[in-house]
This record gives sequence, C-alpha cells and structure tokens, in this order.
Amino acid sequence: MRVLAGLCAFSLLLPGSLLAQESFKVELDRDGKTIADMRPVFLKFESRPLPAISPAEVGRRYQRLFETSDEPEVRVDALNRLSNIRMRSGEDVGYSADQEPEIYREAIASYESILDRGSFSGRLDELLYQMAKAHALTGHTDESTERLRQLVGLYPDSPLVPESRFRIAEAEFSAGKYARAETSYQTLIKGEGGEALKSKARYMLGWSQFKQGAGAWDRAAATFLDVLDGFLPTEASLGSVAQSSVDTIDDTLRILAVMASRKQGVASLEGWLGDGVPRPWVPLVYDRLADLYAVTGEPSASVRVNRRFVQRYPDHRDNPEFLNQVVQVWRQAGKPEAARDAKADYVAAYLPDDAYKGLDRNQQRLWQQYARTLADYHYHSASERLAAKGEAVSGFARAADYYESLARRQSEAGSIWRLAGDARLQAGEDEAAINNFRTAAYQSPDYPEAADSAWAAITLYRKRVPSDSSAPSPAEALSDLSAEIDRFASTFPSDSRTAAAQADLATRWYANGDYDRAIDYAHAVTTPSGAGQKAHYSAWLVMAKVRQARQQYAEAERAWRQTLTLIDDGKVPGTTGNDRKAVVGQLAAAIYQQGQAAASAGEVSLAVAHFQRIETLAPGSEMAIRGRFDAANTLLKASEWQTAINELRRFRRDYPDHDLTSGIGEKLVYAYTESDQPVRAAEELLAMAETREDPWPFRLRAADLFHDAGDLKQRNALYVRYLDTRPRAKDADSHIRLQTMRQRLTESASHPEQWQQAMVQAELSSDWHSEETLRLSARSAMALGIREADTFASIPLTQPLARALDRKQVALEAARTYFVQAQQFGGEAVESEVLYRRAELYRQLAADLMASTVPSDLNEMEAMQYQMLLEEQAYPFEEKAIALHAKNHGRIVEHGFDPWIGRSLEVLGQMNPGRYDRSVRWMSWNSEGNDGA
Amino acid sequence: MFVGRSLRISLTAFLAACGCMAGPVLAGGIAVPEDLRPGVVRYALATGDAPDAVRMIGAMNGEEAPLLRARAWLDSGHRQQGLEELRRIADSDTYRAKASMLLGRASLEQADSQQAARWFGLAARYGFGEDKQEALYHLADFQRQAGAPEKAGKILSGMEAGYWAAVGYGNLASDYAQQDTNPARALVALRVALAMTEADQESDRQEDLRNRLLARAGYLAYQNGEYDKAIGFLEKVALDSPVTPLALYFHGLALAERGNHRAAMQSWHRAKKFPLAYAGVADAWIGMGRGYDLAGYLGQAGEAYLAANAAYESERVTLRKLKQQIREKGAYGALVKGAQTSDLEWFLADSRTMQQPRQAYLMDFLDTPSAQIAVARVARLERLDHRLSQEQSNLEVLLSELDHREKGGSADQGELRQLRAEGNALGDQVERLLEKATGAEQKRRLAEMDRILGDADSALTAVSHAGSASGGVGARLKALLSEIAGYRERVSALRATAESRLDELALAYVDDQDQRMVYAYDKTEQQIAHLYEYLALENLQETSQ
Repeated sequence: MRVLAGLCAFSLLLPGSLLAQESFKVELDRDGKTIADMRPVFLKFESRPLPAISPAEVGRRYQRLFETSDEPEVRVDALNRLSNIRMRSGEDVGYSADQEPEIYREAIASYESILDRGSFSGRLDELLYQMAKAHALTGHTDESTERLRQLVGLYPDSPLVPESRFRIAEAEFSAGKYARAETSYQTLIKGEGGEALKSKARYMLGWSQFKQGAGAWDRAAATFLDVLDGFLPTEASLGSVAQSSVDTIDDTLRILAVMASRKQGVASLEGWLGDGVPRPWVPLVYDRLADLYAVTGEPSASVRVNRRFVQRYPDHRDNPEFLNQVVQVWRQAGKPEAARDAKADYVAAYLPDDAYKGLDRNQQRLWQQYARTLADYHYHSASERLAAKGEAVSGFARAADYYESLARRQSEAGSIWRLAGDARLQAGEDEAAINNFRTAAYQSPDYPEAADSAWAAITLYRKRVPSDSSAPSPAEALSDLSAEIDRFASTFPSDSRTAAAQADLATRWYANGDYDRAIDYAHAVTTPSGAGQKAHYSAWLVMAKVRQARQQYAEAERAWRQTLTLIDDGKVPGTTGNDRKAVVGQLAAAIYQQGQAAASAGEVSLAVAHFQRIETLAPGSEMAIRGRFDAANTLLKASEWQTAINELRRFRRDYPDHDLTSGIGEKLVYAYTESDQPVRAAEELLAMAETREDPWPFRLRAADLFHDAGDLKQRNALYVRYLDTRPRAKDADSHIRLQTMRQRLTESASHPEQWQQAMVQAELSSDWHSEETLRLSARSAMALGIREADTFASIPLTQPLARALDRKQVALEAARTYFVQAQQFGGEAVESEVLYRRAELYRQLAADLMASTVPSDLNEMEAMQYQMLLEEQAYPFEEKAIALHAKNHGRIVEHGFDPWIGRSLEVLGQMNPGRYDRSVRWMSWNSEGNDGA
Repeated sequence: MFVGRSLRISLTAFLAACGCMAGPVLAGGIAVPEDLRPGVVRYALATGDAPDAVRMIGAMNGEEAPLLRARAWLDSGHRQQGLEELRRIADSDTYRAKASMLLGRASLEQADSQQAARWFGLAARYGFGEDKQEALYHLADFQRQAGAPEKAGKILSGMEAGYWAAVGYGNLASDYAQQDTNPARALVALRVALAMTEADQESDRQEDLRNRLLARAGYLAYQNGEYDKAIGFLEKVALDSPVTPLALYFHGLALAERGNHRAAMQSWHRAKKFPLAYAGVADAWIGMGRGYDLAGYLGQAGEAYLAANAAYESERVTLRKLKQQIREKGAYGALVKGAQTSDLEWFLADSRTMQQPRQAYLMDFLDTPSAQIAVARVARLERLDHRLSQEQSNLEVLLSELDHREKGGSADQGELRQLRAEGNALGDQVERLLEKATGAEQKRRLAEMDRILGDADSALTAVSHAGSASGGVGARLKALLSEIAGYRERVSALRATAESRLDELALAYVDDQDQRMVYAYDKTEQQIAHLYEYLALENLQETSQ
C-alpha cells in the first residue's frame, strides 16, 4: 500500500497529461478506483442445517426485541410480527390481549420520538398511522383520530389514507355520528384503497345506515347486500371464507335478518334482493332470517322462510339444508307431527335418484336417517292399529316404501330390506315382500339374518302352493318356490331348514308329476348327512314313488326299504302302522315289478326269485300270492314245464281257494300238453270237466289229447259219448268237428259203416260243407257204394231170376246211389272213380245177366233163345257200361289221365277192343310233346 | 444520512488547517524582512499561529496589511478589533471583497444571516475567483434555507462551475429530495452538481464531493426504483472515500432489487471491510445475511446475522473503550491525538486510513460543524499552550543561560545544537511538504517557510555566539516568565472548558454511535427473528401437511 500511496503521491507532481495515461497505473493485483472496478471475491454458498424453531421461540424473540430495542421501527415491527406469528401459528405467543394496551402505550413513546426526531427512515405517513393505532389501542380515540386526520390531510396520496379514513369513520361511528360516518365510509369506498378495507367500510357503512333508523334500512340493506357481494362473489368463495371475515359476514347476515324480521319478513328480504340471478350468498340470508324467527319463537315464520327459499330457488344446491331446517325448527318448537311431515317432505324431495345424488354425504346420511325414522314410525303406528285394517295396511305400505327407498341407498341394508319385506307382508303385498326379503337375503352382504329373510320369502312362496304337499300345485308357483329354495340351499348350505324344504318340494313335484325334479330334491335331501329324519323319510318316500312310477323298481325297492327302515327305527314321528303297511305293500309291488321286468327280459330265474321273495317280505299277502302265481307263470312262459307244473300244483295245494287257483287247471293242461304229457293234460281236463256245467268242451279237448296221445279207446269212448248226445252242428266248425269225430270213429271202428252212413247223412243234412267234410263224406259214400257194389256183384242171378234180379237191382240202386252221393260230395276228384264204378256196375250186371243161369227147363233152343234174350237184355247194360267208361275216357281231354280212367280204358279195351285196345305210346307222344317243338 | 445536513468543506483540508501535527514554532524575536512579513503573517494565520501574526501586524505595511491585521485580530481572539478593521476595509477599495467575505463568515458564525447575506452580497459583487463563488454559494444557500429553491437555483445558475456551485446544487438537491416524492428534480440538481465538481481544481475536495454527490444520486435513484440508474451512479463512487461503504450498501441494494443477489453480496462484503463507524457498513453486515437469505441459504443467512451481531457487539466494546478513553484522556487526547499517534500521517490518508476504526470515528465525528469547532478550539488552545510552554522554556533557557553567563559560563552549545537539529528536521518536513504541494501558492508559502527556517537557524547561530545579558534582562525575563505562567493557567482553564465541551460532544457522538450499533444490533436481531419466524412457519406448514 505504501508503494501505491507513494505512487499516488508521486503522480500528484506529474503533469496532468501524464495522469491520464493508464500505463502508469500499477495495479499490483488490487482493484481499481471505483466500485465498478471492484474485484469480486469468492463467497461460499452452502446449505447449513437449520434449527427447528417453534413459534413460541419466535414470539419470545420478537417480545425481547420489543422490550430491549429502543428503535421504534424495530419495536413496531416486532409488535406487528408478534401478532402475525400468533395468528399464523394459532399458538398463544407474545403478549396477551390484556398486555397489549400497555405495550402500545409504551410504543407511543417510540412513535412520538420518531416524529420528534424528524428523521425517519420509514414513511411519516406510516408513522402517523402507527401512532394513531397506538393511541387508539391505549384508548386515546381523539388523539388517534387527530393523527389520522393529519395523515389524510398531509399525505393524501399515502396508501394509508384509505385505512385512516376508515378509522376516522369508525371513530365517528363510535361517537354515534352515524350520518357523518356514512359519508366518511362512502368517501372511502369511492376513493383509492384495497378491496379488503373497502369491504370493511361497506360493512360499516351498512351499520351506520342501519343505526340511522328504519327509514334508512332500505339503504342499509342494499349496502349489506353489497358487502356480501364483496365477500362472497362466487360460489367458490363460500367455501374459502377467510377466518377474519367470518364474523363480518355473520354479522351482516344477522343484521339483514333483523331488518327483514322487523319489516315484512321474507317479503322485505326479497324486495331487497330483487329478481336477478341469485347470488351465491342468498341462501345464507334466508337461512339467517329463518334462524332468527326460530330463535324468537316464531317457528311458523321460520318454516315459511325456509320453504320460501326452496320455492323460489327450486334447483338450489342448499335446498336440502333448508328442508332440513324446517324439520329442526318444528322439532325445536316441540311439534313432532309437523317435524315428521317436514321429514317426509325432505325424504320425498330427494327420493328420485338424480335428486339424491345431488346431496352431499351428510345430507345423504340425514336423508337416510329421516327415511328410517319415518319408516319405523309408520311401521310401529301401523302395528298399533292392526285392528283398523285399512289404516294398518296403508301404514305398513308407507313404512315399506320408506324402508325400501332407504335400503336402496344403504350399503348394509339387509335388516332394512327385511323390515321392508315385513312391512310389505303386513300390507298384504306379498310379491313386494318377497322381493324385499330376497334382497335382504341375497343382495345384502354380511347381513347376519339373511337366512331368516330368505326363509321368509320362501314362506311367502309356500303360500301360493296348497298346504297339502301331496296335492298338485300350480306349476308356476311350484317352480318359483323351488327356485327360491334352491337359492336358499345354495346360499345357506348349512341351514337346517333346507332339507325339510327340499323334502317338501320333492313331495310336491312328485305330486305334480315332475319326477325329475322330485328326484333331484329328494336326492338333495338324502345325499348329505344331517337332514332330519322326517325330511329323509319324505324324500325317500318321493324317491320310491318316482322310481316306482318310472318302473325303476330296483331303485324303488331301495327307496322303499330306506323308508321302511326309517319307520322301523321309529325316528319318523307321526307314522302309523298303516303307513308301514302301505310301504311294505309298495315295497312288495316294487319287487313284484322287478319280477315282471325280469320275466319280460327273459331272466326267468331272476324273475322267479323276485316273485318268490315277496312272500318272505309279506307272507300271505296278495302280492306274495300273486308273486307265487307269477313265478309259476313265468316258468310256464319259459317252457320250464316241469318246474312250472310243480309250482302250479304247489300253488293249488297252498291256495286252493284263491281265485287264481281256478286258472291253474288250464295252465297245468297247457304245461302237460307242452311237456308232451297229453294224457295228463287230458286227465286234468277231464278233472276240470267234472266241475263244469258244460263239461263237453273239456272232454272234447281231452278227447283230442287222447287222440294225440294215441289213446283211441278213451278217445272214441268220449266221441261216442258225445255223439250220443246228438250234438247238432251249430256252425261250420262244429260240423267239421263232428264229421272229424265220425271219420276218426270210422277209421278206428271195426264196423265203420254206421259211422260212414252217419257221416254221409250228416253231410247231406248239413248246411255247411267244408272240403274236408265233403272229401271225408265222399270217401264214406264211396266205401258204402263199393260195399253195395260188392253186395250187388255177389248176388248171383240165379233162378228165380226175377227175384234175384230184384235183389240185384236193389243192390245196384243202393250202390249207384252211394256213388252218385260220393260224386256229389267229392265232385271232380272222385268223378273218374265214380264213372268207372258205375260203369262196372252196368258191365257186371250185363256180365251177370249173360252169365246167369239159364233156367234148367229150357231146351237148347229155348235155351238159345233165352240166351239170345239175355243177350238182348244184357246189351243195353253193356252199352251203358261202355258209355260210362267212354265218358270216363272222354274226361282225359279236360282232366287228364288218372288211374280210374286207365281202368276204364282197360275195361273198354276188353269190351270194345277194336276201338280201345290199341298200343298207344302215350309217353312217346308225351315226350314228343315235351320236346317243345 | 444526507437529509438536513449540508456539505462541509473537505475534512482533510480542515485537518491541515487545524495543524493537528506539531507545527514548527517560529522563534520569537527573529527579525523578519519587510517584504516577507505579509507572508509570515499569512503563514502564521494559515497555520493557526495567530499570536505570531499579531506580533508582526504592527510592523506591516502595504495594501494587504489591514486585511492581514484584521485576520490576525480575528484569529487571535481580538474579534471586535478584527471586525472593525474588516468593516473599514470593506468600505475601502482594496480587499473589500475579502473583507466582506470574512465579515460574512463572521456573521454566519454568529448566526446573523441577515448581516451575513449583506456581506456575502458585497463579497459576491466585488469579489472574484473562489471568494466570489463562496459568497454566491452562501447567498444561494440563504435563499435555499429560506425556502426559495428557485431563487437559490437562479443564483447557482449564475455561478462558475466549481466546488461551490457543486455544493450549492448538492444542497439544492437535498431540498428537492426532501420536498418531492419524485426524485427527478433532485437528480437533475445532482447531475448539475456533479458536472460542476469537474471544474474544481482541488482534487481531494473535488473527489470527496463527487463521491458524496454520486452516493446521494445513487440513493435517490434507488429509492425511486431506478435501480440501473442507481447502480450507474454508485459504481462511479471511489473505493476509498468515506461514503464508499454507504455507496456500496446502496449498490448492493440496487443489485439485489435487480435480482442479482450474489453481486449485491459482493458489494456488501466489500462494505463490511470498512469500519462500522461509517454509514452503510452496519447495514451491509445485515445485507450479507439478507443476501444469503434471498439466495436461499438460510443457514448461512443466520450465521451472517450472528456474525453481524458479533461485529456490532465488538464495535460496541470498541466504543465503550473509546468512551472510557475519552473519559480518561479526554476526547481530544483519545480521538484526535489517538488518531495522530497511529503511525500514519494525515497527508498520507488513504483507504487504509479509513480502515482504522478510531480514525474512522474521528473522521466521522469531525464531519459535524460543532465537532469541528470544538476540536479546533481545543487544538488552538493546545497550540497556544504549547506555544506558551515553548516560550516559557525558551525564556527559562535564556534565563539560565544568562545566569550561567553571569556565573561565567558559556552558552549551552548542546542545547543550541539540539535546537538547530530541530530546525533542520522542520526544514526537511517542509521540503517533503513541498513535494506534495499542488497549487503554486502553496509551493510559494512552503518555500517561504523554508526560508524562515533558515533564518531561525541563523538566529540560533547568533544566540550561540551571543554574550551574557545585562542584569536587567534577567528581571524582565522573570516577569515575562510569570506572565507566561499566568497565560498558561488561563489557557489551561480555557482548554479544560473547551475539552470538556469537546468531551461532551465526543461522548454524545460515541453514545450516538453506540446507539447506532444497538440499532444495527436490533435490526439484525429483527432479521434473525424474521428468519426464525419463516422457519417456524415453514415447520408449521410441514407438520400441518
């Protein structure tokens, strides 16, 4: 430095021109001459840990500053900051309200000292203001006002002027100079100044107008409305009112209410408000007026105000509060009925979902509370008026309405839904009741009594089906009930009522013929353990019946046995001996049916076993008997003849008097017949015939059986006995049967002529002819004819020829008659033979004539003449014989060759050899004919 | 800081005028050549050695003689005689302006502004150069003080560019600043004042005034929110002036307002280097904390505030010590002498001088007229006493020499040698001053002084050769000695009064300074409290979130 100083000193002596030369300056790493040339130094910036300071500590610091500092500015600042930190922290730091005046008294000295000093780094207007404040705080209003007037006068442009004006006006107001205060406030409002202060001023302007009496109240009201506009310009501002403004706003509302109440109430208020768009704070004014009325014992007026608001602003957000207020007002006025009506209004107003959604959480809670109260009220009062049915019903219905709308809006509404259901039930609205119960049961999570509610719904569904579960139910109702019980069962699987209900359903579905469902329910009951015995019983019963009906007899049997076990265990109350008997009967039937089924399926032994085991279950029962019977029948059908025969005989022995026994005979006959024991069968028939009024059908069957067995003796005996009864053929069959008998007798008798003649006679006299009877009769006639022809031939034409001839002629006639009858019966089939035999009769006669003995008494001539006469006599016969044979021969053309034609040809060959005795190679001709040429 | 306080003449110049250093004492009885007498008187007057001047005024002739005589009367306490002499001169044709000037100043001292205005009016009318400007300045200032800034402005506009016009405009600017809310007028006046200073030939004075004007302009611009303008003004302020710390402080403020906190802190950091006695330094200490605070380093901010408080506390200790010293040694001894005893010489005053707290307080203390007067009074009395004691010892030496001679002894050659050595030392001092002298006038005076020293040396040589005096001389010497003793008693009594007056002022000043520290302390505490309040509220907010 000394060097520089020396240089400077040296430079003083240099001529000015040299001074200007920068090159002579020696910097020596130091900064230049002026602040601009100042060389910056390195300043370190680094974060340091900050102490945790409490507002109280800060308060202490300011307090100490105020107490220790003599510097008015510092002191004033400390005071201001103290109050600030107290306000911001909400803690009680710094000076108490009691201390403050004293503190400001002290402060005044500071202010005065600043003023006296005349030099103040701050602004004097501020000082004046602070002094005024201090004076005011220490109670020197006049001095305070004086300072303020000074300020306003001296520093009209000071930013403090507005507040000073305000204070001045305040002072005027305090002094009761309201008109002046009004002017002062208005000046302030019209002039410069912050909005906060102006709003305060407006507020006070309102008061100064108010204080001037009712005549100025319209003015005051307008001002107060302005105040509210200022504080609460928007909806949003309602929610963010500064704590400091709360009292002002509150007071403004209060005074508006007071003015309105002292004038024409809400009408005055609305007059002041005018018809414009409602401003955000309007509800507050109404509210306040309503409150005022309420507090001053005019509940009706209060209610009117509240209602008026809602009426005037039907879509207003605050309507819920107003409606609620009506409730509160009536309640506080001790008018529970009116309060209740108001609650009903409230509830009704927000019944629509849209409206309700508009409510905030508290309002919704309130709505729910009211709805609940109303619901309970209507429920209870309806309960107490059960006697007056109409009233009770409508009461319950209303209660239900409330409960329902409440329940819809509550998360855990199980109990409410149930109440709603109950109310509906009481109101006779079963459908709605069911819905409510169901909602409580299934749509109300965590509702502890859900099962009971579900059961209530089921109970109602049950009302729709007949009380007797075995009677058929309307299908729809039953389906509904089933669905309900299904739901119950799946939702409350452990509920003990489920089984009984399902058992009941099983019974009902069975009654309705829906076996599938019946079975399903029965299964549902029987599958899990734990269901009651009675339910089990019912279920098994249904199961058994269904199985039975479905011909699932094995399952049916199992079910019946379960049922029976339950009865036998004595665990099913109310069952009687009859029940057991019925069950046993059904069980037997099931087994029987199994027998039948097995029989149908050809499982004989199984069927028999089924049929027979019935007896062990129900010895002596009809079913057992039938079983025995059917066992035998089954064996019969299975052609197990001997076993069947044994069974049948056993049955007849065991149950000789049973109806079924009467049929045993036939069955035995059948069995014997089938097992190739026709004699036994015949015997059985004969035995049977003995018991019959008309034994002949049996005897004839026996005869047939004897016939089959070859026991012709017994047969013929029976035929003979029968024919002795001279039966008449009543129809073709009986005719055939009789002719057959005759034929058989013919065949087996040693002298069949009797039977042949009878047969021919019967045939001739019958109206019915069958081919067979005609053939048989033809044969009989032929046999008879041959016998007569033999007789004819055997009659020698001896002398007396005439006699002999008579005899012969009779015989010839008899034979010819039989042959004609034979041809009549046998027709074409026997025509060749008949023609032949008739021809032979004539040829015999001719021959016999020719060979007849000439009477001995004749001479040769005579004898010759005689001979000649005989020949002449015999010739027509011969001619007749040839004609018949030729006729027979002639039939070849139409009927072809047969032996009898052959025979006729042979005879013709003998009788007319020239014409007929020719070697004709028929066969070769035939063969030629067969060549197909 | 500037409010209500007018600018005063340069402190350095004042110190020089006071002759705070031990001035060379002219041996009495040395015959001064006729032509040199006015010069010797002027020197005596300039060096505050009025008695010497008075001794010579009787034997002085020439046109300037009445004026010098009047000045000598005035300076030596013969006020009435001096004033009468001046009035006579003022009525005459020669030196009437100078006389009017002096009369004006005298009236001003008596607070007779009316008379002062009259005399300054005359001085302005008849005077020229610096005197005329000063007179015009005073006239303008009277108008200004009378609440007629326009008239003052009119007078100022008629002045020549230079120191006085600058001061005038500066004061006018102060008035405008006080009256106007908008500093436009004041700034215009200050710009004019700045332009006027350029013409001042006295560089120290010019520099000093320029710095003050710039600082004031910067402050006004800053207050008006014209930060760039403020920065422009303040950056022109020299780094080593008494207003530098204040300028730096405002500079920092303006930068901070521009958002340049770090640069602001540079300025405050620099300002902090100055002793707290200077305006703006204490504020700069607070500013550092504020700077850290604004830069977001709250921890450092707190530390800076605490550091500031520590500085204030230690300054208060210094002030207490100073106060104790004032009580013990008196303000003059503690402050003025104390400043002298530091190894610095007033003419080497530089920025380092300013870094000495005590020097700083002295300079600041002497920035007030009353202090200047009080110190000057004590200094004069001290000088008088010193003079008397020197006379006394001279006489005693002479008497003992005479006794010695009477007893047959010879002159004490050793003592004479010592005196001559002192004379030579003084001669060296004068030569050194000559090297530093600026104006031609100063050089001339110093040269004359050099010559007088030479005379003194001759006189001493003469004494050493002088023979013993006659017996009558001894008696006369003794009478003189007792007379001197009487004077010294009076001087001592007067000095006691003056010093106690100075002590009062100094103590009041120190108390003021202490109060200022207390205020700064309070301010810092306030800042700490604000910081803590912020932290507490932050905490509250955090815990509430």
